[in-house]
Amino acid sequence: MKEDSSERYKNQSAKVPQQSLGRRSFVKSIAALGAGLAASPLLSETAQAPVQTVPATPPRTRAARSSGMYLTSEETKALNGEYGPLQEWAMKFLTKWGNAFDAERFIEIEGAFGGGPTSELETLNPAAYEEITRDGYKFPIPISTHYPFFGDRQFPLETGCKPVSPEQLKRDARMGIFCTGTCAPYLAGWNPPFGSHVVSLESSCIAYLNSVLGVRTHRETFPSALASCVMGKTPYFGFHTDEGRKGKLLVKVETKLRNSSDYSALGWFVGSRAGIDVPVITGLPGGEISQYEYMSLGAGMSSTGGVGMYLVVGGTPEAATIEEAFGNNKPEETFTFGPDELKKTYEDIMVPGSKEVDCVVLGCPHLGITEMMKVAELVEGKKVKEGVRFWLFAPPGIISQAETMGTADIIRTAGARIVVACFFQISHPVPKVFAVNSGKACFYLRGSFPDAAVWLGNTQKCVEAALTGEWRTV
Amino acid sequence: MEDSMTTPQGKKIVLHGRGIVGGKGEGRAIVLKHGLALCGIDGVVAKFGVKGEFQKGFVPPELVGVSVKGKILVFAYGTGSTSAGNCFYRTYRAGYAPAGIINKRLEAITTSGAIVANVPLVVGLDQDPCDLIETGDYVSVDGDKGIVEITKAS
Repeated sequence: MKEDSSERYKNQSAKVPQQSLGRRSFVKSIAALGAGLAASPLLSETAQAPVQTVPATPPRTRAARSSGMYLTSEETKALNGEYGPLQEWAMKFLTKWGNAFDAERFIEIEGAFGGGPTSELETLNPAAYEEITRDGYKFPIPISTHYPFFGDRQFPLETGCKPVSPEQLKRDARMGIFCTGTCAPYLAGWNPPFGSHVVSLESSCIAYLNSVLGVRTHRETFPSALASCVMGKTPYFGFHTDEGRKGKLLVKVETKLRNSSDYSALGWFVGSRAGIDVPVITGLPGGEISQYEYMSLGAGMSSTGGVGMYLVVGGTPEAATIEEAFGNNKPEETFTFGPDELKKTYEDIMVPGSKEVDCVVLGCPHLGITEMMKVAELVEGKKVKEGVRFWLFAPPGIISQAETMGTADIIRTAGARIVVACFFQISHPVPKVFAVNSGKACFYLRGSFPDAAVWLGNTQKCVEAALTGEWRTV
Repeated sequence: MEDSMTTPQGKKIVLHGRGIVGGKGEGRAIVLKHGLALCGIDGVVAKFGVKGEFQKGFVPPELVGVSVKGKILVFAYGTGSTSAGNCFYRTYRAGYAPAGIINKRLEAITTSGAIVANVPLVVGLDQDPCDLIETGDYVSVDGDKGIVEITKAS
């Protein structure tokens, strides 16, 4: 299906429908969906560069007033505004951004996760915004979106998250946008192949794609993701290159990690030391690490640090050996993560306070089906303590699956809620004491709920807190 | 070099680096020794309004509530949530953008944010800005030439 759709998009003709002005509702929901929008002319490019080499022969010219990037003639036309204000805006931004990183050229991308809310584009470049919100636009690549998720139909007020209408989703689909409604789209139908080049938002997703799936993406934001989606290309630097994916520092794990919250603690530790470099981790049991443990590890690193990729020797696909992980690099620094560091990191992460838990949150990043099943097993036949909110956050597709399997019913019968949203959108009423199983959640809870206590523990401990209303210290 | 590092109050120190986003800006410095997520200004969902102020959890406690408006932000590199570009643009639109950014290392998201908010950005200076510059120093940033001038507060 992926090939089908990407072929279809690539074969779009250079015609851009010009009819009809932006529709308000349409525009608004697009802004809400957080996806970049359509416009595709450039795709019928004649001289497509091979992925790894710059052809010796033109058609490439230096970008106007740029010091570096080589552009094809089509790219130059887009930059000069010949394909309208949207592509002009996108190319101006991307060449500036690419030049900052000494990118030599653009590389085609095969898909995207998120594209940047266009509500920002409205003020940044009204002409480009007008173009992107016209009827009939379609992105040159398929785009999955996450934010602000579908919105929860059951608890819109408590999550502060209004559902997107089915009509809107249909309109978006015609533009090449499909809503996975999650920060973890790889759990919900977006799985680009190993080695492919994509554009992705969401720090934990980026770390997962680069590290675990071997899919190549920058750490994108607004407007880089939107501009790249508009062009179907992104400047070729950093994680898109082979050398940008090699390790810079070494982390030796010398303690046993028992569960995903331990992995998130390791992530917290590594992120605050690795900064924006690629850490290489040894001492982990490669093939035994679960998907959610990888997710938690990367999410921790990309919260305390700006880590967009990590390598687990014997685990992640580009690190069969430590030699492969480092390539031509030598480790610039070495850190050890032993039992003391694990304990200390938990202390750093948690915000101490009352142990009378009133909100238990699982699902940052979103839970997969196996995590949901684990929770169901733990709560079956039991009841969440009165006054405690026990919320599970998961992708809509996973929730449907859990409903079909009866898993969701067990969880709901116990008094827990399964919510489509992001945990920090919880707003009514403001929780005072959180229990979570994710270092990433702890990091962002501090900012969103500055007065709350936050406890970190494994899923079982969090479930116990939900059932008893108490956080056990031992 | 040694002289410039032990400069008395009022004397200018000039550093050279690479201008990433053009333009000029000057103001008092706010220095973070490590990384900063730009969404730490006003927070990811701006729960407490858009005021251009650092939020708890993203910066050391003494900087919580401090306004970045008109300041020169000095930090090692960008970290954290990819919402930083949107958040920084939001802060800029509300009129609370800093006057300039100095980073030790170039990072994709901070660069993206600085480009859309037109905030001069200089990286790769010949001395470590996070060590040399202290919060309160008066700093000017020339993003076209990649030059940073520091007047020590003390």
